[in-house]
Amino acid sequence: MTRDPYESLRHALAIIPLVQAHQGLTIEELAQRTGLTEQQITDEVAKLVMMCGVPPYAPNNYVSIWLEKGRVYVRFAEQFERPVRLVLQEALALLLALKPLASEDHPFAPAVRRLRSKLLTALDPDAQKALRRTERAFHRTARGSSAGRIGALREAMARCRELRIVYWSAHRAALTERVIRPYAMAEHDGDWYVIAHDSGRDEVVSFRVDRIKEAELLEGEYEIPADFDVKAWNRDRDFVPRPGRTVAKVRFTGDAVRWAREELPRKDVVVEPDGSITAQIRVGSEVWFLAWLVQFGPGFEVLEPAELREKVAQTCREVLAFQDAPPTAVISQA
Amino acid sequence: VTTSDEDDDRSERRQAARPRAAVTGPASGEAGDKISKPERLLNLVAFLLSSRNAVPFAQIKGRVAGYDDDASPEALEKRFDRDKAELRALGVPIVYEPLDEHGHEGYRIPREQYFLPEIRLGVEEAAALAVVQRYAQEAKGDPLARPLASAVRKVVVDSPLSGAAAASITEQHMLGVPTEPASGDVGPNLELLTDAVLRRRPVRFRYYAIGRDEESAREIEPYGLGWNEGHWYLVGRDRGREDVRRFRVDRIRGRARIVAGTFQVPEDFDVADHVDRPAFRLRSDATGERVQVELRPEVAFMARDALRQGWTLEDLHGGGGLLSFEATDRRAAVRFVARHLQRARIVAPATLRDEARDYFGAILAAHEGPAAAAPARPDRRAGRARR
Repeated sequence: MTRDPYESLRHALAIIPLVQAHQGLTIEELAQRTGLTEQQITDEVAKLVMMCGVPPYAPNNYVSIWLEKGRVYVRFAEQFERPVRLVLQEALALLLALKPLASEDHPFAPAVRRLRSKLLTALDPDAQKALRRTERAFHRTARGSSAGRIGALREAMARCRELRIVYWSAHRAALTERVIRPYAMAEHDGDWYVIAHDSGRDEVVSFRVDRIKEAELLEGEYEIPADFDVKAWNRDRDFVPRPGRTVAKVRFTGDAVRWAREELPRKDVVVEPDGSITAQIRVGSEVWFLAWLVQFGPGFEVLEPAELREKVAQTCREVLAFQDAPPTAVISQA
Repeated sequence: VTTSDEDDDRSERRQAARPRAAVTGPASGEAGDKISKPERLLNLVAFLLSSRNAVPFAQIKGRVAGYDDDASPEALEKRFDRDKAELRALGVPIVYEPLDEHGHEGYRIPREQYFLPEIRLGVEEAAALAVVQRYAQEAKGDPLARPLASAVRKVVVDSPLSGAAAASITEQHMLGVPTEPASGDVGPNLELLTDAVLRRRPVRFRYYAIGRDEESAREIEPYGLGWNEGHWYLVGRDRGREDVRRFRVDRIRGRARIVAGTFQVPEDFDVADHVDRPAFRLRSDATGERVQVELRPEVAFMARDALRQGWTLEDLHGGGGLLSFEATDRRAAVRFVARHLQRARIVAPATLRDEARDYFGAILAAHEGPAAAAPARPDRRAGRARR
């Protein structure tokens, strides 16, 4: 990202009113609230603020910001009563970032909708109009579906109560029943996941909220372990099956070559003399892997291991059998 | 930051040599009498905010720190004009007021336009803000991360949550950070495209169309940007093709650049319609047909909750569902259904059902029996596959 020459100025214009409204805030607290580091506040922002004054620049015409026993105070800054209004880009960025939290799959959804309308009223009418127009120019996918189950999940999280769920496991390709202790919710590529302890497996795993078919609040209570860290759950590997021990050797031919090359790490791909490619791919979940592979159509072939190759053939036979099975009748609406 | 009191010596030093950061440390390398731009702008804002009436430039010049050096009057005026424009871009309105009946004329910052109105935040609303603030700190790949951080920093003034409480909420709710695609660095192009969308400036770039395996120069009126399933997309009107198209930002080859001119965005444009559009609806030149897909009972509930506009789902005997949607790209429709393996089948149209049968038939044929050794045809040049 290119450097913003006004960074310290923006920070100062936001920090002065904040300290004024909460005199004696600890420096740590101020850092947390502003999302800046303590060093940024003391070195960069405070230095700038200390040079701010009004003519005739007598001592009491200067803004004073000081730290006493770890707490921050400000004086002679009455003119900076409030922060600057949001500019269009800021309002846009804020509303866009809030979108996933407004999804039906997240318990904050109703609050976020309220927040959204409050933020809109904090803009002047012209900015509101410009924002409505610009907002449609930016998008971040946020799917949501399980409004019916979210109530139980919200209760479970708020009160640390265990939850019984019926869950579609893509990994096992089956509906399963579990008792979980929800620790956190994490969004990934537009979907919400509950990161929870699964009693059956005695393991912390992620569950995609829209795959929860039923959820029921139980009596059992729990505590979130002190060493649980949601930050560790922020990469692809946490939301897709982890690579297992099986390494599949797959050949891609024709058009499939281009798509496969784009998706696979270069180091795992060998270009054959005929233009086809052979890739070594670590398989996490077999089902998941097959679902990914079949999108390449007839342009792929699993060469090794033989069992996986047979699994592809067997899956195709089952698909074809379902395809040729007699039709299922629609339940007619009364 | 150090303790400061009325008897500090900043004003004297200002009058004397104007050192930087009077009590916080030694001057940081710049000439002693040079006032930095952020410092000058902050002083201008402080002065205009504290003045009850409009002030003419004559009262700014020679008095406000940063306008009191020995630059020529023209240079000072130019400096002031630039500063006004830059402050406006930061959201600080500086207006000129003509002579009023009290004899005042000049510049003023109207407080009602400058100050963020109070936003009474509930606890959950503040919690949501904390979650997006954390995201802003971590999502370096998001071109709007910086304005987002700046926005939250302003709005938190009204937050009822302590920093510690907010931190504990971010331990429980986390927004995913868009990951950088494996192929290429999209950061600089993304920043440029964001700017182009906001300012409605046309762009030019070379684009690799993977479907046709061809790279070509494009001139685009960028209507919008969106993030979906791990990729950034640009949607805009392709001037050469006279059509609105969708581009994956990581397939732009080299750097995009802004070209002269501007354009209009259609009133009803919504980038989400394009970014979230399934692959089987992407072709705009083909006529659509209604596709019916039978879903097994164990997965039908997910479809029921996630129906898009124009999709329907009917209940089937045995608990399954009959999903119906319109597709303009048959091949993509087959691929979409194929992902569900033996838990979905195409029911109609019959021709598409046959295509799906052939699709899996061909995969089956390739996998029956042991694998053949990789073909070695050393007479062909290695490289991308040719059709």
